[in-house]
Amino acid sequence: MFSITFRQSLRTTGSTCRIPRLPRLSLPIRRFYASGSTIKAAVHKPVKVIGIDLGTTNSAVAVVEGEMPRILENSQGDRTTPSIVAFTTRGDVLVGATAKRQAVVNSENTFYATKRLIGRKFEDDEVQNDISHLSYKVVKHENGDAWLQTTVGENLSYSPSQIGGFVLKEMKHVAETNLNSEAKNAVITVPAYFNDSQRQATKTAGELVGLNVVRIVNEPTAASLAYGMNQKKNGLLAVYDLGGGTFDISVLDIDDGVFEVRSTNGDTHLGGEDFDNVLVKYIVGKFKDSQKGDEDITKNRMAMQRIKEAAEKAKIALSHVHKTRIQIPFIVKDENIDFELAESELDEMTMHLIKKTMEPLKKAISDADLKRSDIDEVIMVGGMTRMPRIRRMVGDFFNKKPNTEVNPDEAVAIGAAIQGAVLSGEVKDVLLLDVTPLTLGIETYGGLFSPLIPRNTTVPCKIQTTYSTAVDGQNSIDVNVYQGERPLVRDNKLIGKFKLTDIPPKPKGVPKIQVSFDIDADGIIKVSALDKDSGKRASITVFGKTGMSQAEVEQLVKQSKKTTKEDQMTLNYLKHVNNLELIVFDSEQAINDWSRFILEEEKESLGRKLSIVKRMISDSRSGDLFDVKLIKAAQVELKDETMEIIQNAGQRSRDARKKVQSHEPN
Amino acid sequence: MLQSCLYKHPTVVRITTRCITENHYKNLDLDPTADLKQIKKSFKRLSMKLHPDILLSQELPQDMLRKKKNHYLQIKKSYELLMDPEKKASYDRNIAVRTAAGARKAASTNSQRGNFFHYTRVR
Repeated sequence: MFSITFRQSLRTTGSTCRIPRLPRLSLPIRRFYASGSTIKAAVHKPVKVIGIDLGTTNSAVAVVEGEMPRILENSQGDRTTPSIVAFTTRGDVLVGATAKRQAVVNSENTFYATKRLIGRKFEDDEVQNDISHLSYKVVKHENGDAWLQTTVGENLSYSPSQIGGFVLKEMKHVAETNLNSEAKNAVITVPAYFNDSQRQATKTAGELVGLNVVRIVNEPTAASLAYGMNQKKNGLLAVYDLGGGTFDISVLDIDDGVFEVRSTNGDTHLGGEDFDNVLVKYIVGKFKDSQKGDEDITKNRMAMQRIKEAAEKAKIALSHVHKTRIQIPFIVKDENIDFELAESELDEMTMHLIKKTMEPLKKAISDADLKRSDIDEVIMVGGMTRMPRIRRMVGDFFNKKPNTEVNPDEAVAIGAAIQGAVLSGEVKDVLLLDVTPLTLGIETYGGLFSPLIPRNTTVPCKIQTTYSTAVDGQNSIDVNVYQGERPLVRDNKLIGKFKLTDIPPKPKGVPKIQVSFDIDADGIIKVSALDKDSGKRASITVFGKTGMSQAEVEQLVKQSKKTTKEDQMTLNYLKHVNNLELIVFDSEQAINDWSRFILEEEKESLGRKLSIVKRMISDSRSGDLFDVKLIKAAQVELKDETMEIIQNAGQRSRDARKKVQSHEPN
Repeated sequence: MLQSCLYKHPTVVRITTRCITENHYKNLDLDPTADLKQIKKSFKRLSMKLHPDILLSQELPQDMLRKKKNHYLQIKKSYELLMDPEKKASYDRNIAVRTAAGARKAASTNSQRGNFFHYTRVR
């Protein structure tokens, strides 16, 4: 879904604007396009694969050379590049530090933290909440997604993943300048909780700027590779990854170079940006308390941008010192902001955010069937984990001092480069076994969710289950593929569907339909259905076709955490309703089969009962009726009455036969 | 809506989950006496050799790659079964029964259906 909107937008804006949709081609790429045939020369050497950490606030790129991974520096000599893209009125597109530097004077056209908006609907609470903090305009695209609007050109708008594309292009450029050769292949990282369409959107963003994205890797998993490459230690590792916009926790079992992910959990809308926002609010409040004029500072985009920068600076400073001064001269007219902020104050005002990471932490440990004390080592990734209070909290949780040997800003890109080298064959003693974050399954009779691949299943994997038809003579089957943790499909998310048609009509329950789920190491999901008798087959590849937004995944996970008693009751109830319907089918079948020997009045009475019961069934399914006792009673009553009628009919048929036989000798 | 879904677009009813008897220990290059630690070690050793990511750079022909992938999935399945204490115990019991009494079939209690209304297909 996402990838389609991306392409459309490129097409529709193509003819009207004079702003280039993508940054101008950098020289090495031009060279590459001009002399594309030279790639073949390198065919026998392992193909270089770069690793890109496309972060919410900063991005990094790394490569493995001679089995040693290293971060590649950008033209300013920095090891990370701000994930910021700006459009100027002159038609230039700026990426990275240059974009960041002009943010104050061009705040409406400077896009930062757009990874938080990827795959989200404009109406989502998180988006609505973010809008008030953002200096740029977020608009609703025609498909309902949150898009970003500039004030240049004819108010051009971009999707968050297009902005991601600009950043990826810059990282590709950084790599090419460093390696002095074209960087065609890349591994790109995403938060572990990103869903299929977001992964695909990231992949598409890379491909649009000329990258062959060989793999999408989960950020905490990549970080574990960076750690394990140095340590060569076996044991259970927890990766606590709190970045600019997302929080992930993964538990891994490292054993002689094999990195097996045991579980993963997280929150896709929790990170450094939230900490900044809290501090911005605090600074604004503090200013308002002493303000002499009456200007509403929150309406002043430039002032807000300066406050945001000061907040981020103060937050970073307080990771190293106990006290810092927040000074913003002439914030409005002749007024200044100038006060001291203590580390303890920051800790206190952000405690609710720090605490929010504890629940996923517990969940990940229990999903891995472990106790906290089983964890041998804890590593911290993401810039936010420099905050001393967070380190203490995590240390207390595991009763273990977090390992600080990995660089929180660089580990993810390093890990991505290592995985790239594994795939290219350059590194041979490392293997990553990653997992699916959400349960996958199909819809079965009566709207029930039949899970086939539980969450945290290692990929690649293949699972087959046999199903059958629900009604007589059914000649086609709808296979609806869902993702989620709830027992009823209506509470989960449809991610793809297909039809198996032209199966020979047979009585219900007779056909054997084999449904297979096949997830390969790329995370691409293939679902197929096979009618064993006729050999008819149909399949679908889900990855990227239709997906759910990040918000929807979040919602699902949130809901599944509190899968309620109510759910269980509904599920149970619908099972009874299904059973009752099967009895209805059987009764109708029986009336048909024994029609000759059933009295009209019996038929009428049973018919009346059947139509009442059918009403009950449809009311139950629409939610208008919820009465287990009634359904159970109906089952018994209908069963008994049909039984009696059939017995009578059987008697009559035997009598009839006897009559015929007794006449025969004559 | 569900009602119409049932008649117009019949969905499916689950009937069985496959259960194939195969030698999971042999798949993992192990004796049936192997403990969890050995099972884990063996799986990881085999993964390092046979995982699709490792094979990717070896430029194998497509059908060979597919064959190897299926082989790896088999190994992974055996590993997952043997790492599940309940499934392992029942599998081990099964082996014991079979070796003790030859190829004696497990006693089938699959007698007649009590009455034709009694469906337990929906799970």
